[in-house]
Amino acid sequence: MLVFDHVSKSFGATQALRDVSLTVQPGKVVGLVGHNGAGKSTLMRMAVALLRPDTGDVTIGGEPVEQFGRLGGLIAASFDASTLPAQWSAGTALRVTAELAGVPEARVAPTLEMVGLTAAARKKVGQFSMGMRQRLAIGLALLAEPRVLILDEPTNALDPAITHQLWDWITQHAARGTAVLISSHNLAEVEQLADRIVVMQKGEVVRDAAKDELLDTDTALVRVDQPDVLRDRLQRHGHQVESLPDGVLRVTGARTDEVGEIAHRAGLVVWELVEQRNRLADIYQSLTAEGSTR
Amino acid sequence: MTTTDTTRTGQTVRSIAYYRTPLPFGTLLRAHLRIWRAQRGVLIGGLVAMGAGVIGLIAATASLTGRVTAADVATHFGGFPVLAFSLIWLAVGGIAGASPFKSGWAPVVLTVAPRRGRWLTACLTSFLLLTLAVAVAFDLLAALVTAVVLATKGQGLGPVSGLVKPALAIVLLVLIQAGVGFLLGAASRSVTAAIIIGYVVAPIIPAAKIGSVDLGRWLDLEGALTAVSSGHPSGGALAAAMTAILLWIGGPAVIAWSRLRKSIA
Repeated sequence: MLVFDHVSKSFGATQALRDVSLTVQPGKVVGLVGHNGAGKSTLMRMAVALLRPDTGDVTIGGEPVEQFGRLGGLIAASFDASTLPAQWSAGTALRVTAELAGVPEARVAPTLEMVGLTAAARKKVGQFSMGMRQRLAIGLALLAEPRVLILDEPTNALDPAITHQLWDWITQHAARGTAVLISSHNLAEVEQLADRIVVMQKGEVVRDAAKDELLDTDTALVRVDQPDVLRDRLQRHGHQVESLPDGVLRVTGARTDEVGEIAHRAGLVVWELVEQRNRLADIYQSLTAEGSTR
Repeated sequence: MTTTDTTRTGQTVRSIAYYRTPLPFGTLLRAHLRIWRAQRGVLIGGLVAMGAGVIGLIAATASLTGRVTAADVATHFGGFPVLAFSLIWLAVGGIAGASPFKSGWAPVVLTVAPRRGRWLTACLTSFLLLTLAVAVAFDLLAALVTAVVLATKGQGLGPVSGLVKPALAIVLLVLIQAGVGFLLGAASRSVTAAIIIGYVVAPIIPAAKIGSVDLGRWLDLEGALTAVSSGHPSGGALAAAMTAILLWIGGPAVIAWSRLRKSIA
Protein backbone atom coordinates (compact mmCIF):
# COMPACT_ATOMS: atom_id res chain seq x y z
CA MET A 1 0.00 0.00 0.00
CA LEU A 2 1.30 3.44 -0.98
CA VAL A 3 0.64 6.15 1.60
CA PHE A 4 1.28 9.89 1.45
CA ASP A 5 0.96 11.14 5.01
CA HIS A 6 0.64 14.92 5.50
CA VAL A 7 3.16 15.63 2.77
CA SER A 8 4.29 19.19 2.02
CA LYS A 9 6.88 20.42 -0.45
CA SER A 10 8.11 23.85 -1.50
CA PHE A 11 10.38 24.92 -4.33
CA GLY A 12 11.78 28.24 -3.17
CA ALA A 13 8.81 30.49 -2.51
CA THR A 14 6.40 28.21 -4.38
CA GLN A 15 4.43 25.81 -2.24
CA ALA A 16 3.99 22.78 -4.52
CA LEU A 17 2.23 20.54 -2.00
CA ARG A 18 0.43 21.47 1.18
CA ASP A 19 -0.37 18.79 3.76
CA VAL A 20 -1.41 16.14 1.24
CA SER A 21 -2.60 12.81 2.57
CA LEU A 22 -3.59 10.03 0.23
CA THR A 23 -3.64 6.23 0.20
CA VAL A 24 -3.44 3.85 -2.75
CA GLN A 25 -4.64 0.38 -1.76
CA PRO A 26 -3.47 -2.83 -3.47
CA GLY A 27 -5.77 -3.75 -6.34
CA LYS A 28 -7.20 -0.24 -6.60
CA VAL A 29 -6.73 2.48 -9.17
CA VAL A 30 -6.56 6.01 -7.81
CA GLY A 31 -7.07 8.77 -10.36
CA LEU A 32 -5.36 12.07 -9.73
CA VAL A 33 -6.83 15.08 -11.50
CA GLY A 34 -6.03 18.76 -11.33
CA HIS A 35 -4.89 21.68 -13.43
CA ASN A 36 -1.25 22.03 -14.52
CA GLY A 37 0.78 23.01 -11.46
CA ALA A 38 -1.68 21.44 -9.03
CA GLY A 39 1.11 19.27 -7.61
CA LYS A 40 0.26 15.92 -9.20
CA SER A 41 3.68 15.22 -10.73
CA THR A 42 5.49 16.43 -7.60
CA LEU A 43 3.45 14.00 -5.52
CA MET A 44 4.09 11.14 -7.93
CA ARG A 45 7.83 11.80 -8.04
CA MET A 46 7.89 11.50 -4.25
CA ALA A 47 6.52 7.96 -4.52
CA VAL A 48 9.76 6.80 -6.17
CA ALA A 49 12.01 9.02 -4.03
CA LEU A 50 12.95 11.30 -6.93
CA LEU A 51 11.78 14.13 -4.69
CA ARG A 52 11.72 14.24 -0.92
CA PRO A 53 8.97 15.89 1.08
CA ASP A 54 9.87 18.85 3.30
CA THR A 55 7.47 17.47 5.89
CA GLY A 56 5.39 14.33 6.08
CA ASP A 57 6.12 10.78 4.97
CA VAL A 58 5.70 8.68 1.87
CA THR A 59 5.60 4.98 2.67
CA ILE A 60 5.12 1.67 0.91
CA GLY A 61 4.09 -1.22 3.11
CA GLY A 62 4.80 0.99 6.12
CA GLU A 63 8.41 1.69 5.10
CA PRO A 64 9.54 5.19 4.10
CA VAL A 65 10.42 5.14 0.41
CA GLU A 66 13.76 6.88 0.99
CA GLN A 67 14.88 3.84 3.02
CA PHE A 68 14.60 1.50 0.07
CA GLY A 69 17.78 0.40 -1.66
CA ARG A 70 16.05 -1.04 -4.73
CA LEU A 71 12.63 -0.46 -6.21
CA GLY A 72 12.45 -2.87 -9.17
CA GLY A 73 9.36 -5.06 -8.75
CA LEU A 74 8.07 -2.97 -5.87
CA ILE A 75 7.17 0.31 -7.53
CA ALA A 76 7.64 1.68 -11.03
CA ALA A 77 6.75 4.96 -12.63
CA SER A 78 6.18 6.49 -16.01
CA PHE A 79 6.81 10.23 -16.08
CA ASP A 80 7.29 12.80 -18.81
CA ALA A 81 8.27 10.61 -21.77
CA SER A 82 9.84 13.53 -23.61
CA THR A 83 12.78 13.43 -21.18
CA LEU A 84 13.79 9.82 -21.90
CA PRO A 85 17.47 9.61 -22.94
CA ALA A 86 17.59 10.44 -26.65
CA GLN A 87 20.82 8.54 -27.34
CA TRP A 88 19.52 5.24 -26.00
CA SER A 89 17.65 2.72 -28.06
CA ALA A 90 14.41 1.27 -26.71
CA GLY A 91 16.24 -2.03 -26.24
CA THR A 92 19.02 -0.36 -24.22
CA ALA A 93 16.52 1.40 -21.97
CA LEU A 94 14.67 -1.82 -21.25
CA ARG A 95 17.84 -3.87 -20.78
CA VAL A 96 19.34 -1.34 -18.36
CA THR A 97 16.11 -1.29 -16.38
CA ALA A 98 15.89 -5.08 -16.45
CA GLU A 99 19.46 -5.39 -15.17
CA LEU A 100 18.81 -2.96 -12.31
CA ALA A 101 15.40 -4.41 -11.46
CA GLY A 102 16.69 -8.00 -11.41
CA VAL A 103 14.37 -8.95 -14.27
CA PRO A 104 15.60 -11.65 -16.71
CA GLU A 105 16.67 -10.09 -20.01
CA ALA A 106 14.33 -12.54 -21.71
CA ARG A 107 11.45 -10.33 -20.64
CA VAL A 108 12.71 -7.40 -22.71
CA ALA A 109 11.49 -8.77 -26.05
CA PRO A 110 7.92 -9.51 -24.87
CA THR A 111 7.74 -6.05 -23.30
CA LEU A 112 8.84 -4.43 -26.56
CA GLU A 113 6.20 -6.46 -28.35
CA MET A 114 3.56 -5.54 -25.78
CA VAL A 115 4.09 -1.81 -26.34
CA GLY A 116 4.46 -2.25 -30.09
CA LEU A 117 8.11 -1.26 -30.33
CA THR A 118 9.70 -4.51 -31.55
CA ALA A 119 10.47 -3.06 -34.98
CA ALA A 120 11.95 0.06 -33.37
CA ALA A 121 13.98 -1.75 -30.69
CA ARG A 122 17.33 -0.58 -32.11
CA LYS A 123 16.19 2.88 -33.06
CA LYS A 124 17.38 5.81 -30.93
CA VAL A 125 14.76 7.32 -28.65
CA GLY A 126 15.67 10.71 -30.12
CA GLN A 127 14.14 9.54 -33.41
CA PHE A 128 10.92 8.39 -31.73
CA SER A 129 7.59 10.17 -32.07
CA MET A 130 6.02 11.34 -28.82
CA GLY A 131 3.62 8.40 -28.92
CA MET A 132 6.50 5.93 -29.25
CA ARG A 133 8.33 7.56 -26.34
CA GLN A 134 5.17 7.30 -24.27
CA ARG A 135 4.87 3.61 -25.12
CA LEU A 136 8.50 3.06 -24.12
CA ALA A 137 7.93 4.85 -20.81
CA ILE A 138 4.96 2.58 -20.16
CA GLY A 139 7.01 -0.47 -21.12
CA LEU A 140 9.73 0.56 -18.67
CA ALA A 141 7.14 0.94 -15.92
CA LEU A 142 5.49 -2.43 -16.57
CA LEU A 143 8.69 -4.42 -17.19
CA ALA A 144 9.26 -5.59 -13.62
CA GLU A 145 5.57 -6.23 -12.81
CA PRO A 146 5.58 -3.73 -9.92
CA ARG A 147 3.26 -3.90 -6.95
CA VAL A 148 2.73 -0.15 -7.11
CA LEU A 149 2.40 1.54 -10.50
CA ILE A 150 2.68 5.29 -10.96
CA LEU A 151 1.51 6.66 -14.30
CA ASP A 152 1.79 10.39 -14.89
CA GLU A 153 -0.40 11.34 -17.84
CA PRO A 154 0.34 8.02 -19.57
CA THR A 155 -2.00 8.46 -22.53
CA ASN A 156 -0.57 11.79 -23.69
CA ALA A 157 0.12 11.46 -27.42
CA LEU A 158 -1.09 7.86 -27.56
CA ASP A 159 -3.37 6.83 -30.37
CA PRO A 160 -6.83 5.48 -29.42
CA ALA A 161 -5.90 1.83 -30.01
CA ILE A 162 -2.88 1.92 -27.70
CA THR A 163 -4.83 4.03 -25.20
CA HIS A 164 -7.46 1.32 -24.90
CA GLN A 165 -4.74 -1.31 -24.65
CA LEU A 166 -3.17 0.67 -21.81
CA TRP A 167 -6.50 0.85 -20.04
CA ASP A 168 -6.72 -2.95 -20.32
CA TRP A 169 -3.20 -3.36 -18.91
CA ILE A 170 -4.02 -1.08 -16.00
CA THR A 171 -7.23 -2.96 -15.27
CA GLN A 172 -5.41 -6.31 -15.49
CA HIS A 173 -2.62 -5.16 -13.18
CA ALA A 174 -5.11 -3.84 -10.64
CA ALA A 175 -7.01 -7.13 -10.81
CA ARG A 176 -3.74 -8.90 -9.93
CA GLY A 177 -3.37 -6.71 -6.85
CA THR A 178 -1.24 -3.84 -8.15
CA ALA A 179 -1.89 -0.46 -6.55
CA VAL A 180 -2.16 2.10 -9.36
CA LEU A 181 -1.86 5.87 -9.09
CA ILE A 182 -2.64 7.56 -12.40
CA SER A 183 -2.85 11.22 -13.27
CA SER A 184 -4.56 12.50 -16.38
CA HIS A 185 -6.17 15.54 -17.89
CA ASN A 186 -8.50 13.16 -19.71
CA LEU A 187 -11.35 13.07 -17.21
CA ALA A 188 -13.27 10.44 -19.15
CA GLU A 189 -10.22 8.18 -18.82
CA VAL A 190 -10.02 8.71 -15.07
CA GLU A 191 -13.77 8.18 -14.78
CA GLN A 192 -13.43 4.89 -16.62
CA LEU A 193 -10.37 3.52 -14.82
CA ALA A 194 -10.31 4.83 -11.27
CA ASP A 195 -11.87 3.27 -8.22
CA ARG A 196 -11.07 6.39 -6.28
CA ILE A 197 -10.70 9.94 -7.53
CA VAL A 198 -8.54 12.63 -5.97
CA VAL A 199 -8.95 16.21 -7.14
CA MET A 200 -5.97 18.50 -6.49
CA GLN A 201 -5.75 22.24 -6.71
CA LYS A 202 -2.82 24.49 -5.89
CA GLY A 203 -0.98 21.76 -4.02
CA GLU A 204 -3.94 20.65 -1.95
CA VAL A 205 -6.39 17.79 -2.13
CA VAL A 206 -9.81 19.36 -2.58
CA ARG A 207 -11.72 16.08 -2.93
CA ASP A 208 -10.80 12.47 -2.27
CA ALA A 209 -13.67 10.05 -2.70
CA ALA A 210 -14.62 6.65 -4.07
CA LYS A 211 -15.74 7.03 -7.67
CA ASP A 212 -19.22 5.73 -6.96
CA GLU A 213 -19.61 8.12 -4.06
CA LEU A 214 -18.52 10.98 -6.27
CA LEU A 215 -20.52 10.17 -9.38
CA ASP A 216 -23.60 8.34 -8.13
CA THR A 217 -26.79 10.31 -7.71
CA ASP A 218 -30.32 9.51 -6.64
CA THR A 219 -31.64 10.64 -10.00
CA ALA A 220 -33.17 8.28 -12.56
CA LEU A 221 -34.29 8.77 -16.14
CA VAL A 222 -37.32 6.72 -17.16
CA ARG A 223 -39.42 6.35 -20.31
CA VAL A 224 -42.72 4.47 -20.14
CA ASP A 225 -45.78 4.04 -22.32
CA GLN A 226 -47.89 6.41 -20.14
CA PRO A 227 -45.61 9.09 -18.65
CA ASP A 228 -48.46 11.08 -17.08
CA VAL A 229 -49.58 8.08 -15.03
CA LEU A 230 -46.07 7.40 -13.79
CA ARG A 231 -45.46 11.06 -12.99
CA ASP A 232 -48.60 11.08 -10.85
CA ARG A 233 -47.59 7.90 -9.00
CA LEU A 234 -44.04 9.10 -8.40
CA GLN A 235 -45.20 12.46 -7.07
CA ARG A 236 -47.55 10.68 -4.71
CA HIS A 237 -44.48 8.85 -3.36
CA GLY A 238 -42.88 12.23 -2.70
CA HIS A 239 -40.40 12.21 -5.60
CA GLN A 240 -39.62 15.24 -7.68
CA VAL A 241 -40.41 14.61 -11.35
CA GLU A 242 -39.44 16.68 -14.35
CA SER A 243 -40.70 16.04 -17.88
CA LEU A 244 -38.06 15.97 -20.61
CA PRO A 245 -38.52 15.72 -24.39
CA ASP A 246 -39.55 12.36 -25.92
CA GLY A 247 -41.62 11.42 -22.88
CA VAL A 248 -38.59 10.98 -20.61
CA LEU A 249 -39.12 11.69 -16.92
CA ARG A 250 -36.24 12.77 -14.67
CA VAL A 251 -36.95 11.51 -11.16
CA THR A 252 -34.99 13.01 -8.30
CA GLY A 253 -34.87 11.34 -4.89
CA ALA A 254 -35.41 7.80 -6.16
CA ARG A 255 -33.12 5.01 -7.23
CA THR A 256 -33.81 3.08 -10.42
CA ASP A 257 -35.08 -0.03 -8.63
CA GLU A 258 -37.66 2.03 -6.74
CA VAL A 259 -38.85 3.76 -9.93
CA GLY A 260 -39.06 0.41 -11.69
CA GLU A 261 -41.15 -1.06 -8.92
CA ILE A 262 -43.62 1.86 -8.94
CA ALA A 263 -43.95 1.61 -12.74
CA HIS A 264 -44.47 -2.16 -12.47
CA ARG A 265 -47.19 -1.77 -9.81
CA ALA A 266 -48.93 0.75 -12.06
CA GLY A 267 -48.89 -1.80 -14.88
CA LEU A 268 -46.79 0.41 -17.13
CA VAL A 269 -44.44 -0.75 -19.86
CA VAL A 270 -40.94 0.49 -19.11
CA TRP A 271 -39.01 1.27 -22.28
CA GLU A 272 -35.96 2.78 -20.64
CA LEU A 273 -34.75 3.17 -17.08
CA VAL A 274 -31.27 4.42 -16.25
CA GLU A 275 -29.51 6.07 -13.36
CA GLN A 276 -28.39 9.57 -14.18
CA ARG A 277 -24.79 9.84 -12.99
CA ASN A 278 -22.77 12.94 -12.33
CA ARG A 279 -20.05 13.58 -14.82
CA LEU A 280 -16.56 13.92 -13.44
CA ALA A 281 -16.00 16.87 -15.75
CA ASP A 282 -18.83 18.80 -14.05
CA ILE A 283 -17.64 17.90 -10.55
CA TYR A 284 -14.08 18.78 -11.45
CA GLN A 285 -15.19 22.09 -12.89
CA SER A 286 -17.10 23.03 -9.75
CA LEU A 287 -14.30 21.90 -7.41
CA THR A 288 -11.51 23.67 -9.23
CA ALA A 289 -13.37 26.79 -10.26
CA GLU A 290 -11.63 29.92 -9.01
CA GLY A 291 -12.88 30.81 -5.52
CA SER A 292 -14.40 27.41 -4.86
CA THR A 293 -14.10 26.02 -1.35
CA ARG A 294 -13.85 22.46 -0.14
CA MET B 1 2.56 -6.13 2.22
CA THR B 2 4.18 -9.35 3.22
CA THR B 3 7.21 -9.78 5.39
CA THR B 4 8.32 -12.99 3.69
CA ASP B 5 8.64 -13.99 0.07
CA THR B 6 5.39 -15.29 -1.37
CA THR B 7 4.14 -15.98 -4.86
CA ARG B 8 1.73 -13.93 -6.88
CA THR B 9 0.39 -15.17 -10.19
CA GLY B 10 3.30 -17.56 -10.44
CA GLN B 11 5.90 -14.89 -9.72
CA THR B 12 7.96 -14.50 -6.60
CA VAL B 13 6.83 -11.51 -4.58
CA ARG B 14 9.64 -10.29 -2.40
CA SER B 15 9.23 -9.20 1.19
CA ILE B 16 9.53 -5.50 1.99
CA ALA B 17 12.82 -6.24 3.79
CA TYR B 18 14.33 -7.31 0.46
CA TYR B 19 13.84 -3.81 -0.95
CA ARG B 20 15.68 -2.21 1.96
CA THR B 21 18.95 -3.80 0.89
CA PRO B 22 20.80 -1.75 -1.72
CA LEU B 23 21.46 -3.13 -5.17
CA PRO B 24 24.78 -5.00 -5.36
CA PHE B 25 27.49 -2.62 -6.54
CA GLY B 26 28.44 -5.11 -9.28
CA THR B 27 24.92 -4.88 -10.72
CA LEU B 28 25.12 -1.10 -10.77
CA LEU B 29 28.52 -1.28 -12.47
CA ARG B 30 27.29 -3.69 -15.14
CA ALA B 31 24.26 -1.52 -15.86
CA HIS B 32 26.43 1.57 -16.15
CA LEU B 33 28.93 -0.09 -18.46
CA ARG B 34 25.93 -0.80 -20.71
CA ILE B 35 24.89 2.84 -20.37
CA TRP B 36 28.30 4.18 -21.37
CA ARG B 37 28.17 2.04 -24.49
CA ALA B 38 24.96 3.83 -25.41
CA GLN B 39 26.23 7.33 -24.61
CA ARG B 40 27.82 8.42 -27.86
CA GLY B 41 29.71 11.41 -26.40
CA VAL B 42 31.81 9.20 -24.14
CA LEU B 43 32.47 6.67 -26.90
CA ILE B 44 33.49 9.37 -29.35
CA GLY B 45 35.67 11.03 -26.69
CA GLY B 46 37.50 7.74 -26.07
CA LEU B 47 38.04 7.22 -29.79
CA VAL B 48 39.31 10.79 -30.29
CA ALA B 49 41.77 10.35 -27.41
CA MET B 50 42.95 7.10 -28.93
CA GLY B 51 43.29 8.75 -32.35
CA ALA B 52 45.31 11.62 -30.90
CA GLY B 53 47.47 9.15 -29.02
CA VAL B 54 48.12 7.16 -32.21
CA ILE B 55 49.24 10.38 -33.97
CA GLY B 56 51.57 10.99 -31.03
CA LEU B 57 52.93 7.44 -31.35
CA ILE B 58 53.58 7.91 -35.07
CA ALA B 59 55.43 11.15 -34.36
CA ALA B 60 57.45 9.49 -31.59
CA THR B 61 58.29 6.51 -33.82
CA ALA B 62 59.47 8.78 -36.62
CA SER B 63 61.82 10.54 -34.25
CA LEU B 64 63.54 7.33 -33.14
CA THR B 65 66.68 7.25 -35.23
CA GLY B 66 69.85 5.24 -34.89
CA ARG B 67 70.27 2.66 -32.15
CA VAL B 68 67.37 2.88 -29.73
CA THR B 69 67.86 2.57 -25.96
CA ALA B 70 65.33 2.23 -23.14
CA ALA B 71 66.01 5.87 -22.24
CA ASP B 72 65.18 6.93 -25.82
CA VAL B 73 61.92 5.03 -25.68
CA ALA B 74 61.04 6.60 -22.31
CA THR B 75 61.83 10.09 -23.58
CA HIS B 76 60.08 9.83 -26.94
CA PHE B 77 56.98 8.02 -25.81
CA GLY B 78 56.74 9.89 -22.51
CA GLY B 79 56.52 13.24 -24.29
CA PHE B 80 54.18 14.03 -27.17
CA PRO B 81 52.22 10.74 -27.22
CA VAL B 82 51.32 11.10 -23.53
CA LEU B 83 50.29 14.72 -24.03
CA ALA B 84 48.24 13.94 -27.16
CA PHE B 85 46.47 10.97 -25.58
CA SER B 86 45.71 12.60 -22.24
CA LEU B 87 44.71 16.08 -23.38
CA ILE B 88 41.05 15.38 -24.02
CA TRP B 89 40.19 13.34 -20.92
CA LEU B 90 39.06 16.32 -18.84
CA ALA B 91 36.47 17.00 -21.55
CA VAL B 92 35.46 13.35 -21.87
CA GLY B 93 35.03 13.24 -18.10
CA GLY B 94 32.93 16.41 -18.24
CA ILE B 95 30.70 14.89 -20.91
CA ALA B 96 30.30 11.71 -18.83
CA GLY B 97 29.64 13.55 -15.56
CA ALA B 98 26.99 15.83 -17.03
CA SER B 99 25.30 13.19 -19.18
CA PRO B 100 22.98 11.63 -16.55
CA PHE B 101 21.42 15.05 -16.07
CA LYS B 102 21.68 16.49 -19.59
CA SER B 103 20.62 13.29 -21.36
CA GLY B 104 17.92 12.53 -18.82
CA TRP B 105 18.99 9.05 -17.81
CA ALA B 106 19.51 9.78 -14.11
CA PRO B 107 15.76 9.42 -13.35
CA VAL B 108 15.57 6.19 -15.37
CA VAL B 109 18.23 4.64 -13.12
CA LEU B 110 17.21 6.26 -9.84
CA THR B 111 13.58 5.12 -10.08
CA VAL B 112 14.96 1.58 -9.86
CA ALA B 113 18.13 2.12 -7.80
CA PRO B 114 17.28 5.03 -5.47
CA ARG B 115 20.47 5.30 -3.37
CA ARG B 116 21.99 8.41 -4.88
CA GLY B 117 25.48 8.26 -3.37
CA ARG B 118 25.86 4.67 -4.44
CA TRP B 119 24.62 5.54 -7.91
CA LEU B 120 27.07 8.42 -8.35
CA THR B 121 29.93 6.23 -7.12
CA ALA B 122 28.97 3.45 -9.53
CA CYS B 123 28.65 5.96 -12.33
CA LEU B 124 32.15 7.35 -11.68
CA THR B 125 33.72 3.95 -11.07
CA SER B 126 32.31 2.43 -14.25
CA PHE B 127 33.49 5.45 -16.25
CA LEU B 128 36.97 5.19 -14.72
CA LEU B 129 37.04 1.46 -15.52
CA LEU B 130 36.37 2.27 -19.16
CA THR B 131 39.00 5.02 -19.06
CA LEU B 132 41.46 2.57 -17.55
CA ALA B 133 40.69 0.05 -20.28
CA VAL B 134 41.34 2.65 -23.00
CA ALA B 135 44.57 3.82 -21.29
CA VAL B 136 45.83 0.25 -20.96
CA ALA B 137 44.92 -0.40 -24.61
CA PHE B 138 46.95 2.66 -25.56
CA ASP B 139 49.89 1.46 -23.48
CA LEU B 140 49.74 -1.95 -25.16
CA LEU B 141 49.59 -0.25 -28.56
CA ALA B 142 52.66 1.83 -27.63
CA ALA B 143 54.49 -1.35 -26.60
CA LEU B 144 53.53 -3.02 -29.86
CA VAL B 145 54.67 -0.05 -31.93
CA THR B 146 57.96 0.09 -30.02
CA ALA B 147 58.50 -3.63 -30.54
CA VAL B 148 57.86 -3.28 -34.27
CA VAL B 149 60.26 -0.32 -34.52
CA LEU B 150 62.93 -2.27 -32.67
CA ALA B 151 62.37 -5.34 -34.85
CA THR B 152 62.74 -3.29 -38.05
CA LYS B 153 66.02 -1.98 -36.71
CA GLY B 154 67.15 -5.52 -35.96
CA GLN B 155 67.33 -4.78 -32.22
CA GLY B 156 66.14 -6.92 -29.32
CA LEU B 157 63.05 -6.05 -27.24
CA GLY B 158 65.05 -4.86 -24.22
CA PRO B 159 64.43 -1.10 -24.77
CA VAL B 160 60.65 -1.71 -24.51
CA SER B 161 61.23 -1.58 -20.75
CA GLY B 162 61.65 2.17 -21.21
CA LEU B 163 57.87 2.32 -21.65
CA VAL B 164 57.02 1.19 -18.11
CA LYS B 165 57.22 4.62 -16.51
CA PRO B 166 55.42 6.52 -19.28
CA ALA B 167 52.79 3.77 -19.37
CA LEU B 168 52.09 4.04 -15.65
CA ALA B 169 52.15 7.83 -15.88
CA ILE B 170 49.57 7.72 -18.71
CA VAL B 171 47.22 5.54 -16.68
CA LEU B 172 47.51 7.74 -13.60
CA LEU B 173 47.30 11.00 -15.53
CA VAL B 174 44.30 9.94 -17.58
CA LEU B 175 42.44 8.54 -14.58
CA ILE B 176 42.97 11.78 -12.62
CA GLN B 177 41.93 13.96 -15.56
CA ALA B 178 38.90 11.82 -16.36
CA GLY B 179 37.88 11.72 -12.69
CA VAL B 180 38.24 15.47 -12.20
CA GLY B 181 36.38 16.10 -15.48
CA PHE B 182 33.59 13.73 -14.45
CA LEU B 183 33.16 15.41 -11.08
CA LEU B 184 33.21 18.88 -12.66
CA GLY B 185 30.50 17.70 -15.08
CA ALA B 186 28.44 16.14 -12.30
CA ALA B 187 28.81 19.24 -10.10
CA SER B 188 27.97 21.77 -12.82
CA ARG B 189 25.63 19.45 -14.77
CA SER B 190 26.99 21.19 -17.84
CA VAL B 191 29.61 20.01 -20.32
CA THR B 192 30.44 23.61 -21.26
CA ALA B 193 30.98 24.63 -17.64
CA ALA B 194 33.14 21.56 -16.99
CA ILE B 195 35.30 22.30 -20.04
CA ILE B 196 35.69 26.00 -19.18
CA ILE B 197 36.58 25.21 -15.56
CA GLY B 198 38.97 22.42 -16.57
CA TYR B 199 40.74 24.09 -19.48
CA VAL B 200 40.41 27.83 -18.74
CA VAL B 201 39.88 28.42 -15.02
CA ALA B 202 42.24 25.68 -13.75
CA PRO B 203 45.28 27.02 -15.66
CA ILE B 204 44.58 30.60 -14.44
CA ILE B 205 44.29 29.64 -10.78
CA PRO B 206 48.04 29.13 -10.19
CA ALA B 207 48.43 32.90 -10.56
CA ALA B 208 46.14 33.43 -7.54
CA LYS B 209 47.79 35.13 -4.59
CA ILE B 210 46.40 36.52 -1.38
CA GLY B 211 48.90 39.03 -0.05
CA SER B 212 52.25 37.29 -0.01
CA VAL B 213 50.71 33.79 0.22
CA ASP B 214 51.17 31.75 -2.95
CA LEU B 215 47.81 29.99 -2.97
CA GLY B 216 48.07 29.04 -6.59
CA ARG B 217 50.78 26.48 -5.91
CA TRP B 218 48.34 24.44 -3.83
CA LEU B 219 45.56 24.70 -6.41
CA ASP B 220 47.63 24.14 -9.53
CA LEU B 221 45.95 21.17 -11.20
CA GLU B 222 47.99 21.42 -14.35
CA GLY B 223 51.22 21.60 -12.38
CA ALA B 224 50.13 18.62 -10.32
CA LEU B 225 49.33 16.60 -13.42
CA THR B 226 52.66 17.52 -14.96
CA ALA B 227 54.39 16.43 -11.75
CA VAL B 228 52.52 13.13 -11.83
CA SER B 229 53.29 12.48 -15.50
CA SER B 230 56.95 13.38 -15.12
CA GLY B 231 57.45 10.65 -12.59
CA HIS B 232 58.91 11.58 -9.25
CA PRO B 233 57.55 14.66 -7.50
CA SER B 234 58.92 14.82 -3.96
CA GLY B 235 58.88 16.93 -0.81
CA GLY B 236 57.01 20.24 -1.16
CA ALA B 237 56.23 19.60 -4.82
CA LEU B 238 54.61 16.27 -3.96
CA ALA B 239 52.59 17.87 -1.14
CA ALA B 240 51.41 20.67 -3.41
CA ALA B 241 50.54 18.24 -6.21
CA MET B 242 48.61 15.94 -3.87
CA THR B 243 46.78 18.88 -2.31
CA ALA B 244 45.80 20.28 -5.70
CA ILE B 245 44.57 16.91 -6.93
CA LEU B 246 42.60 16.25 -3.74
CA LEU B 247 41.03 19.72 -3.84
CA TRP B 248 40.11 19.36 -7.50
CA ILE B 249 38.54 15.98 -6.77
CA GLY B 250 37.07 16.78 -3.35
CA GLY B 251 35.60 20.18 -4.21
CA PRO B 252 33.55 19.10 -7.22
CA ALA B 253 32.64 15.84 -5.46
CA VAL B 254 31.15 17.73 -2.51
CA ILE B 255 29.22 20.07 -4.81
CA ALA B 256 28.01 17.18 -7.00
CA TRP B 257 26.84 15.22 -3.96
CA SER B 258 25.17 18.23 -2.39
CA ARG B 259 23.28 19.03 -5.62
CA LEU B 260 22.34 15.40 -6.05
CA ARG B 261 20.83 15.25 -2.57
CA LYS B 262 18.63 18.23 -3.39
CA SER B 263 17.45 17.28 -6.85
CA ILE B 264 18.22 15.15 -9.84
CA ALA B 265 16.62 17.32 -12.50
